[in-house]
Order: sequence, then structure tokens, then C-alpha cells
Amino acid sequence: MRVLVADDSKAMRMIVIRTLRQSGVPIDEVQEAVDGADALAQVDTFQPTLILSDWNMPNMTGIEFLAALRGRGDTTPFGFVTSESNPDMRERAIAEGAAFLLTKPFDGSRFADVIGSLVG
Amino acid sequence: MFTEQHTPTIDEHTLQGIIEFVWATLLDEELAAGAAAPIDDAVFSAISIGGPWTATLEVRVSYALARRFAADLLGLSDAELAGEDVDDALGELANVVGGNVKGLLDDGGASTLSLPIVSRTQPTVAGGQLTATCAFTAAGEPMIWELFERP
Repeated sequence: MRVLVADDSKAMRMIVIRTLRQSGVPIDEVQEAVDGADALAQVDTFQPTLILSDWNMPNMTGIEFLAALRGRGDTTPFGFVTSESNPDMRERAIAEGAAFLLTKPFDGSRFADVIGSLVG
Repeated sequence: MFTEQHTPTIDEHTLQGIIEFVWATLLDEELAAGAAAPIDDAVFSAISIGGPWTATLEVRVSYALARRFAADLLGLSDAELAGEDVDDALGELANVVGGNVKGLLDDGGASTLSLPIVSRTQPTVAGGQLTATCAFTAAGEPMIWELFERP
């Protein structure tokens, strides 16, 4: 699995990646992006099989990143890892094509559950 | 300003529970209750919620505790830490707690969360009224959280 992790916080990117590796999901390569615009620019070259993105980021938010991605026909599985969530955000995320919205802080087992169900 | 009868939207008990949960999950350690003692060489991290309910949440710790928190969070030694790592980690702490506070609001998704701001001077919250204070001790050092609501 090739995973693109988008978060403006280096600390949170490291936590996401560490938790991802601890979750038992087979990871081949991980690449980091500092915001939605950076992530969008990396998708074509990195060709991730899973994208994990924060919601609230400068330059381009996570939901804008997802909309841009789906707008150009890219169907890469996409999950939000965000510090905030509410029913409206979940609805928007699903409507734009996200597979899940995971709220920070999260533990390894929760992470394994959502990623595991996604990759089967 | 609020009237004297103002009931905080997020009370201290609720805020305390969120902070303890976030800290325990991020660092896998329990926070101890503490006193709102003065902090020398303090660093502040603040995040604001806008919408039907407007508020600013601030945390202040000593720079030494901020470095220790960042090192633990990032899995680095103190020598490996860059100054920006400390700001990033402390900003993310306020961000995660603020996000969980925002998640409790019955606002139909109308509220917004700012990006965190980390500074060495206490941020000014114009028109804000202090409605909750939570004091902890981490690694023997005080950590103070304050919630300011704005009418």
C-alpha cells in the first residue's frame, strides 16, 4: 500500500504514520504533504493507493483537496483524520467521496479498524 | 460582556475531561490535577472557534515542558528537536483539544475552527470572558488551560 498523508502539522503526520505502521496494515511507502495543494500536486507522481488527510489546513483544505481530486476523476480511497468532526462534516466528506472521517486523537486499534475495513 | 447569570457553554469539568483524554491518547500517560501557578518562560498556544458560539482556547506551559511534550509526541530526543517542532506540537495540542470542544457544540456544523497560533506572549482575546480554567501538572510542571467566551 502506498499512503499519502496530508497534514499541516509535522507532529500529526508523524503520529499518523507511526500509528499506521503499528496498525498492522501492510505499508510499502508513505509520502507526506504539508497541505491540500501540496498533496494534490503529489498525487500524479506518487500514485497513492490510500490518502489520509487533515481537514483544516492552509492553502487548500482537506475537503477542497478531495473535491479537486474527485473532480478530475481520481477515485483513490480517501479518509479524513481530523481534530474536529460533526454530522455535517461527515455528510460533506461522504458526499465528496471520502471513505471515513476519523477524529483526533485516535488510537492504533481504531486506526486499524477503519483502514482494515477499507483495504479488506 | 456576559451577564452574571451566563452559563458557560463548555464547563470546566467537560473541558478537563477532553484535555485528559487528548493527553492520554497522544502521550499514553495520565495528567495530574494541578494549581494555576505562575509560569516562567511561558509559551502559549491558542485556537479559536467561530460561529454561533465564539470562543478562544489557550494553553500555557513552560518552554521546557513544551519541549518535553514535543519530544515525546514526535519520538525525538531533546537534542533532535527544532524550535519549529515545539511550536508545531503545541499548536497541534490546542488544535486537537479545540476540535473536540467544537465537536460538542450543537451547532448544525455552522462553527469553524481556526488554525492554532503559538506565541511567547499571552494572546489578547478582545471582549472575551474567562469561563473555564483547568490546571494540570505534567512532568512536575504546570500546564494551564483557559477558555474565553465572547458574547
